[in-house]
Amino acid sequence: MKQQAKSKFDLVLSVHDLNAWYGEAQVLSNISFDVERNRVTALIGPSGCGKSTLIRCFNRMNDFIPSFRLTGKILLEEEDLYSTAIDPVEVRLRLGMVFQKQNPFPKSIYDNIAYGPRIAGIRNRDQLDAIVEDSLQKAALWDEVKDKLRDNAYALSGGQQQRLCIARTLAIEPEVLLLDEPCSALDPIATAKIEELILELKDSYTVLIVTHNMQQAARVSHYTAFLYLGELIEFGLTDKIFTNPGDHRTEAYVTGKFG
Amino acid sequence: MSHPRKSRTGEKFIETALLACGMLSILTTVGIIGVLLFETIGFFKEVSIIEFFTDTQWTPLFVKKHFGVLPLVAGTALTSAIAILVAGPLGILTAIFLSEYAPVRLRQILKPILEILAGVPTIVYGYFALLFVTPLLQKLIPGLGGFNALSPGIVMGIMIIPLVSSLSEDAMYAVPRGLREAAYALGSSRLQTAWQVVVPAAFSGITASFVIAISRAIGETMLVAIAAGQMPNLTFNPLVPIETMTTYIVQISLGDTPTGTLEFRTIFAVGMVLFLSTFALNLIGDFMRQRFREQYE
Repeated sequence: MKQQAKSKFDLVLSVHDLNAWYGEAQVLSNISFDVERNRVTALIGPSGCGKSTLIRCFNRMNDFIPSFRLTGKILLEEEDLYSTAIDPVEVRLRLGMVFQKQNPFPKSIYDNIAYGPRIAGIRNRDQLDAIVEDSLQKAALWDEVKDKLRDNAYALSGGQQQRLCIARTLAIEPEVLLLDEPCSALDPIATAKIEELILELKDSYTVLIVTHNMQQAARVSHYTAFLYLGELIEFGLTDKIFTNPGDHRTEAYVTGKFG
Repeated sequence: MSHPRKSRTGEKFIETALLACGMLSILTTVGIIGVLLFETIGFFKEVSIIEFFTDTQWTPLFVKKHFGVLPLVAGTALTSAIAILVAGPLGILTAIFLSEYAPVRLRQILKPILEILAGVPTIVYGYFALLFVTPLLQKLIPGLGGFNALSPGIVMGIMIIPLVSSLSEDAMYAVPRGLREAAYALGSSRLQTAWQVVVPAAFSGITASFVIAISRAIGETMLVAIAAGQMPNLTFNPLVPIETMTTYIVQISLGDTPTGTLEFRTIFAVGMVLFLSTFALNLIGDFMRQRFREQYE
């Protein structure tokens, strides 16, 4: 079944037997699944199920936690993200991440977007201008901020700040977008805007999204992975997970019996 | 309830006592400013304020008297500048190391040790400058005199490193984790995260630490009194002996200049300049903090 999928569709990410620990506590057990190109894959599950830990494995954000340990493989285009030959900085450039709580830098809107490209060594003014405009366009924020690019990012509303963070991530041209509960701190209107944006981005990016909100997963994703107590209970087409789940725990969760 | 009056009297007493404690420090400050003002006005009745700020020589104890404060101001500016040139970069680098690189355990051990540096009596630093650093510098710079501005300046810099590093580190440590995560997620190295995100976000705290360190350097007395030579000298050459405002005040206070004379009053005029410069510095620091504060929420 898996082999067939591989020949038929284009896989970007492939997780093999992933296990993870914080100190002695195991937080992820034997996780394996594939992520298709230009599709949105949602990670759902109750609090503490390991979904945030899992998404942070993809861009090696867990490297900063001293007690964190991991076995297994995550392949990006056949390349092991945890091989000793690979530079974590390069991993983070290829898989861009947007966080739960909007975290713009206390700098101008322009400097927020230009941060990544500047770090990568781009100094040319025209080139930076083009990247800033392009990224803000893609994040559907350009029209709202084009006249105040020099204003501090904190002058924006919470929803605008989160779209700014998405634009900032797009500016480094990642292959994959990792969204870790991007709407958890936003009101419903701002949430709707971000969801709309995710649906637009899926044409050119592969998106992984962690969400608490099952309606959100149903609305934006093609595939859904249900995690429970660190295990991947079920993975498949979102429609199937929500309408005809194969596991009773999945059914209980998506119908709101626990969570 | 049977003794309501008694307990209320007790309350009143404690309230008054607490108020008195608070007033004590305010009254002391007012008293100091009052004395400074009174004596300074007396001084300027005899010496013109123009001479005070334009004459380039300070020789109040000589037969031919000059009352130009500039050599003393220059001496203070010179040693303080050297000190902050040493303490600024080293203090910030130390703070970056402690906040961004050091494991939690190491940070917990190193920080208090560093703060002990601030507790060493300044006279010890003075002899350290005179008997250790100066001879060392003399090997590097031939012809350097036994008294100069460089040696006490450097040692004063070492002395105030903990002020800069400790306060800057507090400010950096308080920068939200989300900002660091954002920087890393955009492909920054540790150093890039520290320099381009954490330091700018902690700017107001770092500025405050600089202002406090410079104030401390300007007010430092013993160290320069021992190692700088006590010779008023309008120069920015760090290799020659100089005298600072504070050391001049010590020199007169300990000498046999009779109170009430013009010579004695000079120390109040100099004290006033000292007071106004640290006061101005604090105002500048406050302004910088407001103006350049990077607010995160």
